[in-house]
Amino acid sequence: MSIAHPNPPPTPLLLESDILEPPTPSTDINTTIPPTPTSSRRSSRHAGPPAKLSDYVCSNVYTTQSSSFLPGPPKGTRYPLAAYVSYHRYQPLHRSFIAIISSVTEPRSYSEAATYPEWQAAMQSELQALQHNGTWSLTPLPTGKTLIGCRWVYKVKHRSDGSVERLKARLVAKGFTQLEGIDYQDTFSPTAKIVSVRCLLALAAARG
Amino acid sequence: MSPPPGLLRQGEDQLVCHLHKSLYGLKQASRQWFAKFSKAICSAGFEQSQVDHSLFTRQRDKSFTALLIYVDDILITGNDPISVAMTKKLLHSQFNLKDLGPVKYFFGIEFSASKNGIFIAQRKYVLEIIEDAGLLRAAPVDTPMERGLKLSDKSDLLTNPGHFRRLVGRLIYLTVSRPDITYVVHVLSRFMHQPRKLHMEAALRVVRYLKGAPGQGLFFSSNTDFKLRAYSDSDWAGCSLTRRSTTGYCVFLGPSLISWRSKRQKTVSLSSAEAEYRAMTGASCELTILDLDSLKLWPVIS
Repeated sequence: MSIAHPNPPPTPLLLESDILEPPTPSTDINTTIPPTPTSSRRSSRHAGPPAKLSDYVCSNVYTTQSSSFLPGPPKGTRYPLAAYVSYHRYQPLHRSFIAIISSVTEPRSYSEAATYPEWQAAMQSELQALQHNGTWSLTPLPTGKTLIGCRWVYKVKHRSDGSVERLKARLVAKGFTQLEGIDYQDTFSPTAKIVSVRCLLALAAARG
Repeated sequence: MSPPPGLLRQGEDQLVCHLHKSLYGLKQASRQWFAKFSKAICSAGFEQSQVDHSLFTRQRDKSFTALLIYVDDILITGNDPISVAMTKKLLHSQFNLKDLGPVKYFFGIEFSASKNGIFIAQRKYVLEIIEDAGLLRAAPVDTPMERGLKLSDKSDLLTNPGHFRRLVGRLIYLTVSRPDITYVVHVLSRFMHQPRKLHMEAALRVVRYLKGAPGQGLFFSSNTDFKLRAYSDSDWAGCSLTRRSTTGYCVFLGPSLISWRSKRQKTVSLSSAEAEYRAMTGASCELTILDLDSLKLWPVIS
C-alpha cells in the first residue's frame, strides 16, 4: 500500500474499454514471465506490458498474487475483467471521478505515513487544531486510572469532481479499552436505516 | 490518553494527556455529537422521526425539507430549494462542515443522477470483493446459485473459517444495492458459525456471478405515483436442516424498489398456507414501518 499521487493527472483519461480490445494479451498488465534458465527454447527477452500504456489509467483493478482466498496462477486470462465492467454509459465527468476515487489509497499506520512529508504536515495541523481547542492538557497519570491508547487515521479528501482536495490525518482514541459504567455511561450512534436512505432517494428522484 | 506519536519532546515521556473534550474513538463521542446535532436541528423547527431516529423533517406550508444523518454524513433533500439552502446555512453557522453538492459517493455507494432518476451502484465495492476473492480471471456465471441447491452440513470443515465469514459479511453489505443476491447471501449466512468446503464454493460462485455485471445497481425513477406496493412469497420447509420455511418480500414505492428481504421463519409451518401467512405478516410489518405517514415523508406527495 502506498500513497498514490497527491495530484493525479486528470487528463488524458482513457478507460480500459477504450484502450484494451478484449482478446489481446495486453490485458494482463501485471504479468511478467520470468525467463527460465533451464529451457533454451524460450527467449530471454523481458516480456511486459507495452510502455505506451503507462501513460494511461489502464485498469482500476490490479491482480495481486497474494489473493486472500485462492492462489490463482498468474497466467493469461480468457475472461479479463475489462470485458465485464463498462463505464461508457456514464458521463465523461463521472467517468473521471470514478477513475480517481479508485486509484488513490491511504496509509494504514503512523510508520507508513511518517515517510511522506504531505502526511506529516497533515498530522502537524491536526495536532495544532487539537491544542488550539484545548482538547487536552499534559499531566502525570493519576494513580488507579488506566490509560487509553490512541492512533492516527489517514484519509484522502476528494472534491466533488473526484480530484484530491487535501490529505487529512485524524487522531483517534482507542475507545475499546474503556469499560462501561466506569469510563462512560451511555452510547448511541445515529446510523440511518438503509431503507430510509432508499426511500429518501426515491422521493428525491421524483422531485427531479 | 497516551500522547500521540510525534507530540512529545524528550524528557516529557512520563506525561499523559488529560482529555477535556471528547475525541474521535471514545465510546461516548458519537452520542455527544448526536445530542448536540439534534438539539441544533430541532431548534430550527425540524422534527425527529420516530421510525428512524436519524431522519429529521420539517414542514412549513408547502415547503418540505428532509434531512438524514449517518454519523457525520448528512443528506438533505426537499421540494423547496430555498428551504434546503436555509437549512445548509443554518448547519454552516453551527458546525464546521463542507457542502459536497449533489450526492455522488455516500457510504461506499456511488450515486449518479439524471433527469430521469437516480441510479445507485456499489461498483467499486464489487470490484474489491472480486479482487480479494482472487477471482479476477475466473469465468463469470449467469446465476448466483445452482438451481435447487440445498446446502447441508456434510462436507469437510474449512481450515480458515475467517475467509468465509469475511466474504459473506461483505456480500451482506453488497445487498444494499443488489437485491438479486439477497436470497443466496441469506442462505450462506446460516453457516457462518461452521463453514464447510461446499459453502465456500457456493460463496465463490456468487462472486463469479457478480463479475458478470459489477456495475449493476438500483434505479429510482423520477416518474412515480408514490403508491406503496408489497409482494410476498414463501417456500415451504425450504431449509432442509430445520424444516423451517422462508419468507420473502419486496416493497416498491411507485416503480422503484425500496425494501426487500429474505428470511428464514422463526417457527416450523405445518402447511404452505401457514408459511404464506407468515410471509404476508413480515411484508405488512415492513409496510407499516415504511408507511410514508409514519416516516413523515408524505408531504412531498402533495
